[in-house]
Amino acid sequence: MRRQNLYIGMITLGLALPITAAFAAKLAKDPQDQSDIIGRDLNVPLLGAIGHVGLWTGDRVIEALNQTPAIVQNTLQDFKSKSSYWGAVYYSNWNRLPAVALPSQIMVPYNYVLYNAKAAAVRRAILIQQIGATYTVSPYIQEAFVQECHGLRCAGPIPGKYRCDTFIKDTYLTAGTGGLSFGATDTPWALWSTYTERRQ
Amino acid sequence: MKPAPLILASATFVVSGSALLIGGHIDSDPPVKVGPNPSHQALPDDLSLAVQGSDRTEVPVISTLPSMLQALDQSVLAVMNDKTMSNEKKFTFFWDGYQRNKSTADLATYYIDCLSSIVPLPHVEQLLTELASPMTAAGVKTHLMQVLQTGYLRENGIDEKNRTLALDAIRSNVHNVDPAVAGQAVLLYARMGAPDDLVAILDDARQRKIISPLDYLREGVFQLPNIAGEKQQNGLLMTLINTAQGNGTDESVHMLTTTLGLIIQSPTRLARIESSNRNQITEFLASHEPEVKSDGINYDLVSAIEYADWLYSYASVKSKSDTEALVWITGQVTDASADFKKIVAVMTGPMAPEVARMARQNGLVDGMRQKVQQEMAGQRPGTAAYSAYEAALEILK
Repeated sequence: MRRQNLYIGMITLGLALPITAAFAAKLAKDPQDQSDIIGRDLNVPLLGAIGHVGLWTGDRVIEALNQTPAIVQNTLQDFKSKSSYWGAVYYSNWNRLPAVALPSQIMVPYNYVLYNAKAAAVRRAILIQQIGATYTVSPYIQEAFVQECHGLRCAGPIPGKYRCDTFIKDTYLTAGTGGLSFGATDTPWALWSTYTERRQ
Repeated sequence: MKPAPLILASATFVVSGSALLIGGHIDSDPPVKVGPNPSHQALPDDLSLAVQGSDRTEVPVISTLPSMLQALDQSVLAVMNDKTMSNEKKFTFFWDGYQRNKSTADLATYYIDCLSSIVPLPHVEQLLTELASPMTAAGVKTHLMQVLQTGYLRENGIDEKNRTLALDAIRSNVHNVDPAVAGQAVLLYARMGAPDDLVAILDDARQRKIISPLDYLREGVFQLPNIAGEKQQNGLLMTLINTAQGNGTDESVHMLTTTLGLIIQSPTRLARIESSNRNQITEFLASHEPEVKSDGINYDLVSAIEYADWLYSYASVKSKSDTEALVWITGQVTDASADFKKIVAVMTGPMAPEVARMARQNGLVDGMRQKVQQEMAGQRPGTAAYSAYEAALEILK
């Protein structure tokens, strides 16, 4: 019985990973527009199905990784090379959202610059990277805050704490997507597959 | 087919956080059933707890562990969002979760990180004791310090007495024998105000290589305006420039360029940079103009924003007034030879409305629009380039 289970385990282990890779390879094509969400398997054996997501800027990917600093910019090629690639999905209602005013930088004094919603998500991602952030495996989002002053007392900038999906969630919520797109406990895969609009 | 052996292997992987450990588990007998079952012994406690209540007795191999993690997320989020639960009880929930999973690196830090959701944070002394303990894992210490720093920086995050203790605790760890703990302590300490000893600590950390050159550059630039004395300030500036150029990577130069921009864009900080050092910064920025990346279909918004920030910073540091800077920037994008990519980029930046207004006043905005429209004509909606051009034209109306 013990030996039989060993064989079953080996067979299952051998099949499980290629199944996810083969399935995912046909999901969607490369990103085309700012703030497309790209996804791939999590680069951890047996946990691939949880997934990993990043934000497309038009030429590169901004993503939260388990490293210091956590928020990094990478090429699409690098993103695709790490594990089985899912492709890109997009939010189809960007143009219906109002423009968003975001700080021009992370320390006072700053101007507020108006961005269309789609660009605001990318701008927020850059602000988070400039403020700094650490990585967490927990679902808790500690938003990164630019410096704020009340009278003589100033606080921040306060670093954020994100995992890959909560990082995307922060940028999208800042851009004004509200609660349209996410459940509270989405995995990266759930977040990515929320979008029916896939790049083809 | 019984999937259970693989479930055990998966769970063991999460526990160890290292190589896949199959031996000793894959041949477990009898198979584990998912649900409230005494044979859960091999699963981390909290993953077993998380799936209790499920009516499934067996689940597909591939989805099992992600489902467990999702259930765990749900349980901690329910606590975080429970407005009727006291902070004391929330602390106990997360702290007990940490205590139960001390030997499981990822789960231990999972619970530690959740403590930051509590404002104000009670029982800071327990965190301080845990941080000081030689029995606490290095990975846990870095997360404990992050929670303490967050409490310190937040309004009402932790009480006054514990703020001082938290600062001291993080400060004392900059010399921790574990380089990961020491490096993290340096980076956290660097954001806790501007302590007098910070520049020396950063320099020491750079030399000991416990922080990366990129981290040194970013935190070092933030300290530049805090240094009194032209010579002392110049010493740090030259170290920063040499670190960026000597590191031999575009990334380092990029980090120094963008972070200097953050300082320069703040008039109060720029005023604290000595004039000779301003000249050196001007020279550095002049020789590191960022490229706006576009191949006609892909228009990189990050490079556009960085270009706009750079242009604004460069204009500010070399000009005597804001008006002079604005006139110079407007001249750059209204000139007949101005590249359309740069016009689009400036329209994403902090000076966009003012530049567009001045161009309009000078009767030059039509020329800018035509250049962008010309490029846009060859694009189809839905590409990054089209979106960028469309946004620029909106401001140039």
